[in-house]
Amino acid sequence: MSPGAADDPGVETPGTRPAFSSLLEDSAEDLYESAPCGYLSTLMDGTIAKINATLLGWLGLSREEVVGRKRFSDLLTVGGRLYHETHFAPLLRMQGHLGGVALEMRTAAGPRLPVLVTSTLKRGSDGEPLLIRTTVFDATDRRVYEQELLRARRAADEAREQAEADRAQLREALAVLQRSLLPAALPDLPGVETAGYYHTASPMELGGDFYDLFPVDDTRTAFFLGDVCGKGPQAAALTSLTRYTLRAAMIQDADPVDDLSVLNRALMERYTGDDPRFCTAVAGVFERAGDTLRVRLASGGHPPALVLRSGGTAEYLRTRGGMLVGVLPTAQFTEVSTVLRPGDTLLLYTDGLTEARVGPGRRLYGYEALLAFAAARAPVGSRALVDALTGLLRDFGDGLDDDTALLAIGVPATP
Amino acid sequence: MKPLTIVSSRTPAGPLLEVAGDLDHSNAQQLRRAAAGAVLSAGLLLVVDLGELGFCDSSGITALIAVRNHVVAAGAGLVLVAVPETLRRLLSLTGLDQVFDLRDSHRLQAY
Repeated sequence: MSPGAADDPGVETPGTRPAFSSLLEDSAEDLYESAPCGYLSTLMDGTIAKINATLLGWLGLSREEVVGRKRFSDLLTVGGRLYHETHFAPLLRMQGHLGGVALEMRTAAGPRLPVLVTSTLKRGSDGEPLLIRTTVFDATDRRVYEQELLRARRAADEAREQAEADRAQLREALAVLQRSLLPAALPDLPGVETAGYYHTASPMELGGDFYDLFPVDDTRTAFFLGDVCGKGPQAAALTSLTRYTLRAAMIQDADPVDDLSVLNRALMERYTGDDPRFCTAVAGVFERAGDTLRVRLASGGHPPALVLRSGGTAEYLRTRGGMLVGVLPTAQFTEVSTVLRPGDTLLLYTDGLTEARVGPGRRLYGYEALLAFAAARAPVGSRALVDALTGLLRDFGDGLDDDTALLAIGVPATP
Repeated sequence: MKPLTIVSSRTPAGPLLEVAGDLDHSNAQQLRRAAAGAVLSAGLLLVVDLGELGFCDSSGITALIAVRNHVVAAGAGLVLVAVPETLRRLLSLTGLDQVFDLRDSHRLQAY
């Protein structure tokens, strides 16, 4: 049996009207030769027995060069040949059919031709494989399309990496700014234990809470803690103005009421009329007297400070009447004082703590719960108290959606 | 979250704003605009009825302060009536109960 005879193109369907048929295709032979895809038939050893004109045209080869002389794999690039030998041919033999495999063919003129190859094994009546029929589609357009897709994907990947890098840079810048609003470390003071903590609700938003503690002379130490209204860069600018105004005022003249008045004037001058901006703050000064600390503090609209006594009780230091800072030019601030004895601890906090939402009803944590929490732990040193509260804040989980600052000042218990 | 509604009307004493719903950063601007739109002159009284106010956060407080600044600049007066207990506590904590004129009812005849 000759390979050509074995692989004759089909005959016309009987009954098709000749006029209609000739309108569609001149002949089956012409359909085979000039089809918009390549056809070839190969023997089981790969030798090409029949090939159509379309494929010869694509490859730039003549029928004489190919038929009976070349094997299918000879038409492929080195990479294509390797793939054909190791994957394509064995799979085809096993499955009898293999479709849509992307390969590259060598053309006489040089350029590679990307193609999609589909092959079917033709078996004889005894089931023995006789020959392989293969169609070859020009995949140049498809390859271009795939390359476009790849390029677009690479561009998207690069854009995403850039965005992530920008985001990381922004986060870093925000973290640096945030740190600039807080003391790097609290100073070591003989006979006094201090501890601070700052909880940031969102790393992408600058918080509006602040605190500071610093010696003003040999005997006195100033401190403050507060909360500016709002969030983000504008709040941070206000926080910065607030922190440095208070710090300068307290170094100049450590009088809590006067210092809050200075801050009030500074905020009133900076923010006026339609864009009022304000903060709540507690400012104070303490001075050693024997083994005690005499503390004076003033509040501008801030939640009351809490004192935990060595006897195991806790109480709020009421500072009623102290007004939000930055609202009224004539704002009044009230001073309270207390004495911390060994084992006593003073706690300043922002309302992120008391306004956290707890329980299934998401009710406010509130002042009573905080008082009970403190009383249950008193007497307790500053560090241990701040650690306990840090644990409480963590337990709030997503019920805590605001920044929270904590500052504790205490006299260590005498052994 | 209850949506914020502000109803403006006039009384012999001056403009009346009836504020209902929750006041926060997303809508505090509405209150400022409503106050800015109220016709005010020296001697008039802007009455803000907060009887139906729900939640009010620091943006709401800021808006009330901006309203007050606007009213004071016009030489007029501001009265907050029917202030809910939670807001009253917040105003007291922040010392703002000394800044705002708080009245229990809005029987306008009283003014």
